[in-house]
Amino acid sequence: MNNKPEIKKILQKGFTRLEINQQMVVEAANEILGYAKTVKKKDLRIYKIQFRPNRFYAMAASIILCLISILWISTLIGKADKNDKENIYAGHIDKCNKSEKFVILSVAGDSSLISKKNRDTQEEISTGKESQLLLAIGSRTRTILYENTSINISNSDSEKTSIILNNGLLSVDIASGKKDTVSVITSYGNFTHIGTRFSVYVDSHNGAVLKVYDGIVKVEDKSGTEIIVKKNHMWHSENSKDILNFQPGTEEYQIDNVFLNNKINNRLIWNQGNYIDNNSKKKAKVLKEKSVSKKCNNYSGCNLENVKIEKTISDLLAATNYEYLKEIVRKIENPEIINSVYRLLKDEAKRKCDIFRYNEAAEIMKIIIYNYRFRESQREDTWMQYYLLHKKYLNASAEKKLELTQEFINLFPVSNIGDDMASETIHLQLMSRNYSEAVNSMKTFIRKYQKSSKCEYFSYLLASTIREQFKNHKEALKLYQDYVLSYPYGRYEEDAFYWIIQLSFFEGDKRMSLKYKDIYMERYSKGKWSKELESLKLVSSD
Amino acid sequence: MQTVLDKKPRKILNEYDDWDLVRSFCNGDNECYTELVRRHYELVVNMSYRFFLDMQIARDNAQEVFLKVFHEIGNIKPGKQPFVHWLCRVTSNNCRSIYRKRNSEIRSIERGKVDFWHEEKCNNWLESNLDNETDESIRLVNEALKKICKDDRMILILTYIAELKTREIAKIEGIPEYTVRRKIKRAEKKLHKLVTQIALEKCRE
Repeated sequence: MNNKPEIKKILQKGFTRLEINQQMVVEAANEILGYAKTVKKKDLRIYKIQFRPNRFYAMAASIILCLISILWISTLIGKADKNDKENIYAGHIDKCNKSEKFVILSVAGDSSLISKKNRDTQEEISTGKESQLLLAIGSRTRTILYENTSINISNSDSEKTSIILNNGLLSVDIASGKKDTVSVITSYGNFTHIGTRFSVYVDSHNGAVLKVYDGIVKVEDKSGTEIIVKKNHMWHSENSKDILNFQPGTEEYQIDNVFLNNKINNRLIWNQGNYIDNNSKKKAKVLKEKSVSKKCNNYSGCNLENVKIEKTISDLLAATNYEYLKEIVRKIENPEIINSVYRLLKDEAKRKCDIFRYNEAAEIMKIIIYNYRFRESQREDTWMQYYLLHKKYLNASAEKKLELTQEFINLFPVSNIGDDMASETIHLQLMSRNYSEAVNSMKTFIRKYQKSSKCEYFSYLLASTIREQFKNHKEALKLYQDYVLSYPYGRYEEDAFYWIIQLSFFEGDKRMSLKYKDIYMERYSKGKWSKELESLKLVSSD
Repeated sequence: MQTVLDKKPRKILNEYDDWDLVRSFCNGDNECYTELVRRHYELVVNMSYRFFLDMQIARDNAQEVFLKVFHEIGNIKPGKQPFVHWLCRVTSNNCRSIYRKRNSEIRSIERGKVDFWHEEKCNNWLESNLDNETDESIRLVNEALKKICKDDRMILILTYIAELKTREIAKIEGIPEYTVRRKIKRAEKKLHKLVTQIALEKCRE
């Protein structure tokens, strides 16, 4: 037990650092330096890497596993793509094949007038006086049943779908792709499509009229003769041998727009998305693009004054048809309606943000921003929201944000928040390392917004940027001096003094350096640079 | 800042901060590297010596460490922590890798026998600088260190030779601070026990 203090002593002394002769250290340092110059970095790396069989096998196994999984995933994706390409309406193929022959996508007008009956294998469906129906039949056919139309649908096998048109007007849109056939059967003739869009009108007095908008349709008349009707041609049962030209642009041609534009009041839109498989975003995108690409030519036929605009807009918002919505909003002139539309759009944008549909919210905001019928304050507010949306939620790149700020300056040249946006632009330019542009922007800012509180900050930042990024010491020195003169006892004065001293010293102007050093020491004797500047005295005396 | 340093005369090289030297070396001043080696060579050699207990290996290790510093110095960014901490980390990592390498070599030569500790051949060089009492305590501690596992040994070295705080060791080793504290306590206890044992044995002799 007496040994305890001794052991403590031993431990204390036992860890004494061994002193090494300084000459030896210098020799060792020179040796290392010489050796370091001759040995390249690569050699050292090679020296480090050792072949270890176990590791090698493990790595090889993991690479093989990865490759297998990648191949498996790619084949799966390939299959999915192939299916998509083959059939854009694939979303509801299963639904149709398994349970029903057709799916009602949307109803316009009085839904009570629509009747649906089952007669053995055939299903009958008819519309009333003021009702229209959008149907999906089979795997890739969409049809509109106009007023007073009745049809029977029978698809005996998956490759052949036949629609029996009893009376009325039927517009058919068939996506190209598979080999299955769709035919419309009337008492005046049978119409078989060959990748096409067409409409058939049947009336007991006038007979049947066929109009082909796209592709080719094969017609088999009562006598059994076959006629091919091409695009932009029509066929009439009265003169069955003649094929006449007609001017395209008729309403029934554009199924999507016709359905949205129809003149019937109290229109119900159930669920347009029903047509699309909700789980498949890709398919949704394809359909959306398709609907947007169809321009609205027939809008003029629709009397805006008679239709409740708000309802139309809310319907369009529900259908996410923003292109068309833009067109409508552009034509509104009544300021009261404009205000209510603004509120509607704003609320919808907010709602979209709440359900994390930021892109759709941005689209709605864009309608307000780029429409000059809205008040400037409304547009400006919306733009701010639009910018924040991109910044916070859409993770926009610095370039995109820069574009947006530039757009703001173009859209609102006399805005109250112009200086804020200009400072945001400068920060973004600095972030994206566009120093020359940032310098120009800073100069403009100082010139334009002299009364702004940020002016002081930017005049110091300008000098620092020129010093650090462009190494232009002369200009930087001048700018620092300007800063010190224009903002005495400013926020960055201490640093500005320091850099004036350093830069003037390098430029060889020791007198100026000493002068500013004295001022610095007077004002900031215990400042953060005082020690370093004291040591600078040594340098200047040498 | 770099330009300010470039203008400084050679006389005040001693006044340079470690990071300043690193910056100047990155700018192509080799003398700054020599100065860095001069400052820290002793620490690195001491750390390596206590780990391997062989001066030859320690010097080789120090050379390797400074070669690494030479090649990797451009990649590190001057931070808030001192340069020594980074150097200690490089040294400890290199010590461990050499230990592993030598261990495997010896295993392959003599299966089952794991002992690469060599007799101290360079001790004449050390003895000249130290008094007998200190020399004796160093020998005792070294013998005790031989019997301690490498991780505990490294922690003791970092505590007593590099004189780092627990927080700094935790950063270097990449383990929590309380773990370091616990490890130090345990290693100290073990070392105390071993030193007492060895001292008693020597007394008996």
